[in-house]
Amino acid sequence: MVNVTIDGMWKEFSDGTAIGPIDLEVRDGELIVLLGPSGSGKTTTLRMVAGFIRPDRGRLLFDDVNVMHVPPNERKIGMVVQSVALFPNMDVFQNIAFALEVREWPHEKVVRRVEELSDLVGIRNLLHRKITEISGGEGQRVALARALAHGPELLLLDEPLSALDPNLRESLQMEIRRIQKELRVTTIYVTHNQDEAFAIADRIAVLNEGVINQVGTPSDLYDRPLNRFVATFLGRGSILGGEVTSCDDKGFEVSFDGQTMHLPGYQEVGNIIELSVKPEDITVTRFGDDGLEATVESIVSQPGRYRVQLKIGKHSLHTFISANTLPEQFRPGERIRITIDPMEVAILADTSP
Amino acid sequence: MRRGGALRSSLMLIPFILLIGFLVYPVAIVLIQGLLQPTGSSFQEVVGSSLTQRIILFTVGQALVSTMVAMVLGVPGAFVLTKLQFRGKNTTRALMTVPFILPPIVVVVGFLEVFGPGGIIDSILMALLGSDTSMFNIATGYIGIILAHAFYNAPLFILMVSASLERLNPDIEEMAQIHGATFTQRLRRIIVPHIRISILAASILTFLFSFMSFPIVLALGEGSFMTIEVQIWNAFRFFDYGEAASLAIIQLLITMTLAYAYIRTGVREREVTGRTSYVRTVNIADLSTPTKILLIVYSSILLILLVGPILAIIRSAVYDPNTHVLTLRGFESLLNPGMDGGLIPMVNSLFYASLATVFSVILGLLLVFSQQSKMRLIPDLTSMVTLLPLGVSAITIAYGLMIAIAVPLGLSTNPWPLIVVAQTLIGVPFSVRAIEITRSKIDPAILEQAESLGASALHRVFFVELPLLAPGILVAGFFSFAMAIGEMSATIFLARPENFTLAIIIYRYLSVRKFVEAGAASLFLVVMCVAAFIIMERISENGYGGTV
Amino acid sequence: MNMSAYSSHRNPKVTIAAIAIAVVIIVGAYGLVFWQAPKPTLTVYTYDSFMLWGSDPDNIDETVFGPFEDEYGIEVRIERLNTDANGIISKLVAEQSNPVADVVIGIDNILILQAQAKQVLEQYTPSNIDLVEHSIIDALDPDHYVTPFDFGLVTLIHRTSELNATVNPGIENLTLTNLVDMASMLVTENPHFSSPGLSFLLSQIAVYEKLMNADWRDWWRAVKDDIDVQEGWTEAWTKWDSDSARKILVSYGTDPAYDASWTGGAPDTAVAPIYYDGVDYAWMQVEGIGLVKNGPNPTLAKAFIDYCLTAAVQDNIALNQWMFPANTNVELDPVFDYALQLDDVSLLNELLTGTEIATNLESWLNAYDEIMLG
Repeated sequence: MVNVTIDGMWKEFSDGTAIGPIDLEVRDGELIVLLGPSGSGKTTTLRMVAGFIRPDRGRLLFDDVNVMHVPPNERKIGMVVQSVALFPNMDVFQNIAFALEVREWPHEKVVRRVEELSDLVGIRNLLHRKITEISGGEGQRVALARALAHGPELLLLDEPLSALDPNLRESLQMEIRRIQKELRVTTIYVTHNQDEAFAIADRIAVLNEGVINQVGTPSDLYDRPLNRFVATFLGRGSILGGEVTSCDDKGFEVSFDGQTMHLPGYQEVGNIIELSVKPEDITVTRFGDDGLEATVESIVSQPGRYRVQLKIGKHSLHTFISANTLPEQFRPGERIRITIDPMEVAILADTSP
Repeated sequence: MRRGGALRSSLMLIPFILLIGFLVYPVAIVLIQGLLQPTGSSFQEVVGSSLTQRIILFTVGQALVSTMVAMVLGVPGAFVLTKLQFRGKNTTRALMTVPFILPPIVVVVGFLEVFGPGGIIDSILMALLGSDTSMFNIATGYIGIILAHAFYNAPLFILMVSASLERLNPDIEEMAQIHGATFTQRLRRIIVPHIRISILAASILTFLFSFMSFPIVLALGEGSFMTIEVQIWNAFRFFDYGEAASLAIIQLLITMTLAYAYIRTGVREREVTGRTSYVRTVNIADLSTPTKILLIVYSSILLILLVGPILAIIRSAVYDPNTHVLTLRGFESLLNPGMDGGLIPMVNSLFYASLATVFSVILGLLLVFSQQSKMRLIPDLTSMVTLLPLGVSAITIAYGLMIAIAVPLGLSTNPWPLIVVAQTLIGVPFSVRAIEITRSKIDPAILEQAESLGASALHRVFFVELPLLAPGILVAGFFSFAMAIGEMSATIFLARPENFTLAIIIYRYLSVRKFVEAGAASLFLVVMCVAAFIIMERISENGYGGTV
Repeated sequence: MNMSAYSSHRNPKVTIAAIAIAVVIIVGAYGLVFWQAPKPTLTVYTYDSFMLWGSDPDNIDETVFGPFEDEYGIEVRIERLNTDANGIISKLVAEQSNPVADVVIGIDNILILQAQAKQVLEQYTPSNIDLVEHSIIDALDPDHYVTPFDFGLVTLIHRTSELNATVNPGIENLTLTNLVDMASMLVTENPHFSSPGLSFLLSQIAVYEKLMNADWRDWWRAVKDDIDVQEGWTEAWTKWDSDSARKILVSYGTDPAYDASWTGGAPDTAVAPIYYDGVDYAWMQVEGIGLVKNGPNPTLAKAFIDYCLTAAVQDNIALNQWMFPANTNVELDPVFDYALQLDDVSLLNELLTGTEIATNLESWLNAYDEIMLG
């Protein structure tokens, strides 16, 4: 398939907003997810890769060939979008066969290929249906088959599952993953949904305000967020900021709001650092002197657990406690103690907000 | 992008080249020659004359009043047609389109027969009241002119506004209702903003039509009224080409200023459209009594105005006013090769109108594509050019085609290609509008899909875009056909006997008082138009019938 | 699975080609079917209703011009343009650089005063011009740009059953002053668009300016709210015929004859010439035939004009055109006894000279418009 290199791609719109510069390497056969909140520039980036939006600057290399001036219909891509955008004037078969017919394949070959693909995505029985006669999930399968029919080197998926209900979404995620691995097609997958990104991605590129903040495997990003945005958006982590008060060969000590905490590693004394703490790494107790003192802000009931909002000085944290830990013991305003697993705390490299 | 782009832009150029070659160039020749002619009136003289000023005032005034009357008569009809359940809706729609194809001279006859002194309504009133003097006449004078313009254009409002109403998302209206909005509030806040654009579009077409009105003003005005167009014809007839050119320029300035304002006020802005899954309709039985009475009064007025003249035409096809007997002579003469060649005008009409339809749809498609252009100015320019055939005096176009094209090219001995050109041009504004509306409903993602799947521009257009535009193309085809088959001004000027069309034959029959024959030919035009409409509705499953 | 169960797309190039071929075939077929063998043709431009008022209008051209065709082995195309004589001159002006027509019929004694009319015509005096009386030639065009074809008297007509001396004494010896009071009964034609309409305007001007020494515009000011001005003669006639309130029409003095021939007895239609100081007046309209300048077949065209003055054509004018033939030797049908005769009236043409009309026509029409639109 193809290695995609996005190099300094940049686009400014007439309303003054800008996307980029984007630098990203998508490896051959890899599924990379562009993850970010809405308005972060994911779709624009994808459409620049597809060729529907012409960037103002930068290069786009498919295996070292700059395709910036190649029109979309010659880029050997397949694309699936949220609205499905199936051709309403054609039936399912014709939709899937479209890319083959414009390439003037002989009819028998087209039929064989379409049947093969419809088996792959599991819609063989729908081939004769009209577009108006299939469901949303089936529509996405058809769209996927259509995008794959001509054997594209690069598959672009723009929020393909966002319009579907959660159960269907999960099963289709698995299937997209399976098909992608089976075909080994290089894939860029755009979504705003972290769970989906984690479920499906080889690597994730987190996009915010038109810039890629961090690229890495899901666990990389989860465990080692580089900045506040990645930490909060991805791990739903809480941020604690403080000053390094001492450091020795066992680690260093950071202090905030009069409390201190020991962490492994090395930091210059006097540095102001930020820590990302994930909810599952916080343990809450009512009694004892371990850890840090916190105040309960609020308790919200969730399926099988409670979300507890805490406050340490001016810092907010949150964690979850399971339903059988007697949550009635905790009331808003109550003072409690928490411990944080020092091994799981991530120190943010980029302290700019 | 480069290769497709080149193909696209050269295709885009075709309509411009044709419009420049067959519209701008001939008209420019007439205007320039007219102004340079030493013998005629100069521009200053024409503009300075109090007569000209009065004519301009009248022309603009009556066009405004006609537009308002057509709007007042038409817009409620759009609501009735969209929101009310009743049988024969499609027939009603088909009937609405009849006025488009009727040559004005036929409408005049029908109008006088229904609304004129001694006409049907007058006779009934006289019989009822036992009077022996005529007591009812709304067919002549200022009122007659306005009503005749309304007859032509109220259907335009009905069809265009109802097409727009059908795309009003019923959910929005329901939400508003749930939140306690009264009908007037809903009207002001939701419905009017939604149909504003279609009202504006219908208004501009109506204004231009009434502004350019010629035979109606002459015939119903009883000599007391003149539009600029009438005065241009006057000037041509008395060989004052200077005056003709000056007036045509004034006319053009007014129409193009208007067209520009129309484009600037954002007619091209997208209408907020809901998915037309269903339109909430009301059953007549569910209406309150006052509403019912209002509805009946309104429908009767509209029915009399629109159907009256059409019925008069049907009657005139079998009733000879000279001998006061019923006869089928009219139909016989349509079939017998006589003075005007029997079936030939019919064949000509169909042939020219069909070719003109094909061309005007193709031009319409190309113009719509170039309206989507991302380049600056191109969309505005295209919109202006699109309205041009409505904004230039038909007489000037006809004369220009004659002196600038037919005579130099030796086409004056066999001018049928020019007739097709002239008929094509007048269909373009309507075909563009119809295709434009359908085009704006297509999800751009679908077209991008085609491109990403490797379709060339040609493939995309043929496999995806055209099939999706099909309903609009059908409507465009219908209106182009109707406009072409009813075209008089240019055809009459260019045609030689072997080129006569039904519209010309009607004119000729009337000029020698063969009323039955003229009636039969008119009826044939009406039947062809209704048939074309029904065929169009059948082909288009989506019932886009009213999408002007 | 059966392959053909799936439909495939046609190649768009094939579709385009198919449409193009279909259009070409249809256009070709049309061209072939309506293609006319190039037979030498003499083209005559005339107005829309030329010679169509007889009993067999469909074959009139064959009857009247057939012998000429046979004699010269050519075809005569009588092209009745959908306009009146002014429109024909417009067309001739437009075609000036490449004329189609050889001969034009229908230019009248007012229109020939226009410079443009002379500009597209060639002077020609037929060899048999003696068949036409001098007074008629002079009334039309002493310079021989056009030769008289027929003539008629423009006057007022009414129906005696509706309007007669018993009910309306004013109808006898009808003066223009009487007519002011009867303006709500009067239908006339637009002088811009109709030759009888223009003739009537000139009649009125002649009477006021030359006989009464009054301002002609006063009359129009007095009638403007009541008079009905229709576009052309057909529209005016229709109005007069259908509207019971409109009883008087500006038309031709031969209308009673036409009526008589239709009904077969004494006509209901009567004429009411304009009366002033003991004399009946009418306007004579002479329609001429002219040679188109630089036309394709000048020799044939001249022969054709000569032919038009012979009895072969002139015999047919009365009953098909309802005008008096220019060749006054022709015997007229008895119904013409009902028509207003040349001897019955004094001609208003003699009061207005050609130069006078040529110089003033434009300002008269403007003044007329000013009054009527005011």
